[in-house]
Amino acid sequence: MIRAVSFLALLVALAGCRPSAADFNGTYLDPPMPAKDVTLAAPDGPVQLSDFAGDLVVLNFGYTSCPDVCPATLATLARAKQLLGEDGEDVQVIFVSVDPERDQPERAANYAAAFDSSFVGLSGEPEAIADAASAYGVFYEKADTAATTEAGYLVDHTATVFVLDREGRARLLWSFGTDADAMASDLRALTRSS
Amino acid sequence: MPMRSLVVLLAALALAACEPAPDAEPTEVPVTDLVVEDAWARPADTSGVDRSAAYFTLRNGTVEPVRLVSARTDVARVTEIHLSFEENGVMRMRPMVDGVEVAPGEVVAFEPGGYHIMLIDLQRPLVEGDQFPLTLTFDGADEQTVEAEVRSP
Repeated sequence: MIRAVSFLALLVALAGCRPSAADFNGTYLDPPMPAKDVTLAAPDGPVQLSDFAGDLVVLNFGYTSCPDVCPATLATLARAKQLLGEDGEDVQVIFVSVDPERDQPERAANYAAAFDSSFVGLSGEPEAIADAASAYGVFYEKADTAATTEAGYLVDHTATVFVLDREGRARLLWSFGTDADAMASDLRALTRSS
Repeated sequence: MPMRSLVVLLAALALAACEPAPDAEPTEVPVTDLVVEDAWARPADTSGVDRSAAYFTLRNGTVEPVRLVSARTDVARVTEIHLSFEENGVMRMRPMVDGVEVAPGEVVAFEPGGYHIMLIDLQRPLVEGDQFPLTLTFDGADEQTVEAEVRSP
């Protein structure tokens, strides 16, 4: 028993010596997801995700008519960016609409910028949105609730937030509800390691 | 301890757990209320987005179930009770057309990613620091109007 405990203690000690998934609050992807470039629309023209190479991109999907989950995520991201201060200068938050029918590029851009003026909001043609979503395994579909809500249609969607490294590869996933301190700590760790 | 005593003890414990509290005179039942606490709503700038959400905590201090059936406020043309929930990594949101029940003695929190009052077609921007009256209507309790504070959580 003593020997088993000592061995366990040694394992724990060793694991603490090198950076690993345990250093992150989110799910650390090792190896990272290969970079996937997609072209979306900003108010003044097309934007490619690869345009942001060199930044740590924090990518999240949602829709501007969403009153609860999407603003919760964006407000948390805004707070995380504040917490980072100067360390957050090369962190770029990008919101991608999964509701191209209602979210014109301008609406998506204004929506994201309302949380933090540095945030980029993108939309695009339905096919482009579908490409972007499938590149990250993001699911979205209109919910069949028209008969019971005056909110127009609601959109069910993956609420996972993706952090891309400076080469555009997804490195880290945050599930809905991750708090700003956890995000800031993860972004600091990623900033240091890249 | 002999097995039989143990069984008897366990049975006694089980019975004790089921036994209702000694009957009080109905007039002596403490009259407590349904309390609505910490009402707030997320800021929204109506130039881009015409909706927001309001949150609060319902504490049912009565001895009967209470059901929140509707909400209204002059800052939104329409209000609906909604629930956001996660299913296989996908966030979904659904109207709670039958309202939300709070059992006697229970607390139900309306909070981001869960129950909320969806404010649709905002009549004015919700600016951080503002307050607005929010009226909640219940089955099993009187209507209540609370001041909701506009703030980021």
